[in-house]
Amino acid sequence: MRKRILVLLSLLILLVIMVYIGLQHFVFSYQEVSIINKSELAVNIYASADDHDDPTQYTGQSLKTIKGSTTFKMKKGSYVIVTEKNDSYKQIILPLYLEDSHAHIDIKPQYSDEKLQLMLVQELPAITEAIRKTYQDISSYYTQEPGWLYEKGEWYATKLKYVGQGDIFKNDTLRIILHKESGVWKVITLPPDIVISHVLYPQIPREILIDINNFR
Amino acid sequence: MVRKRTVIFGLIAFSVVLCLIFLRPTGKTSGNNTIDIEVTPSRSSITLDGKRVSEGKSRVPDGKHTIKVMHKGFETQEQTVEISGSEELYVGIPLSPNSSETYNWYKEHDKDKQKADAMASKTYDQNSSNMTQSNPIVAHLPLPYGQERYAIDYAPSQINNNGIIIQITAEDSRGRQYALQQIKDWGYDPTDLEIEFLDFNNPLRD
Repeated sequence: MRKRILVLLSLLILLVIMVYIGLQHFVFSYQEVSIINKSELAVNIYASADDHDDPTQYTGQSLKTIKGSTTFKMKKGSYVIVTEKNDSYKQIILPLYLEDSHAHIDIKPQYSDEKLQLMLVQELPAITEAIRKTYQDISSYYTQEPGWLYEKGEWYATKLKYVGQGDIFKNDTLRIILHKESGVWKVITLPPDIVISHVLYPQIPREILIDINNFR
Repeated sequence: MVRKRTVIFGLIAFSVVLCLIFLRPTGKTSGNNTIDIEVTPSRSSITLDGKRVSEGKSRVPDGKHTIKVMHKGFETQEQTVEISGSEELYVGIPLSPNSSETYNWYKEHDKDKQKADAMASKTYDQNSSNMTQSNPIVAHLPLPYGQERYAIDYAPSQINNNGIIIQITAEDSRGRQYALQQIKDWGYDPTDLEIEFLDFNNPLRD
């Protein structure tokens, strides 16, 4: 009788463990993903090509297409999020690693370079005026490069080239960033500087700072 | 009979081994932090999150914790610390006398004086270590003046707790650009640092 109980108990423990393993493989191997997408762009999710040098490489057909914001479950693993191609927007390609925690992906659509260039032509006089109002004697020291608009045209960054005569000690190029708030351009970097720090200006998107500090 | 018994014991042993494997602790438990408290005077009353504790190590969960130290004749001190991820944090709190009876306490109590000095030294070491961990660039600093005519040093940040401000000294714009390039060569983007150009007189600064 005792032996039978022991055997049954062992079988029960084995069964519990098998169920546990099953749960781990079939339920716990899935993870929740929240996509926040306030644009009209469709978002496709592809399997990652597992290219260690470029985590945005993807392979095969789209596994899922999403419009708008949503939360759903996907099998844990490496994926790539790709927004649809559109003349007005830059295509966004983001790696997505689904592991042990709920993934939140915020899709921030940005206008294409062509669209931003067209917008810049219209905005430049107002931008230049806002800079001149903030620094009235700026033209004695610096010339303003045409600059670049970012995101949806609400951020502007440019370089100020030194034009002062014979002063080799301060002929540094400065960076200046403006933001359009309620239709009015406002200088954010007070004062403009050689490097605009994300520590000092956390409200400016880091990608804009990296671009204007390093690549322009 | 013997074969049956072997099968039964084999099953039991197998089940136990599987139980041990699957029910083992995963090491992901939170709240495995330690706060090591030292105070002077030694017989001060100490509370940790409102509960009375003695000097030494106390285990606490992740999050903010408040340590309050009181002693008659001394200024009460309260310190809030944040701890997470199985961290061990040293908190040394020397109380300052606030009455005429205790005014010369540290002169008259040599053990407490020595302990307070040791606490200050431990706190300094911990802060330095935290600063190096939070700002790995300090491992390269200070960089003295060299052929490229710039120097790079650092000081505590005025705006960022545990942060630093990188101080670049260069007499012309070329030196400043070389200094920035050096920072990039170390693997840091200047965008992520607070940088002060000591010899640069920005014409657009008020």
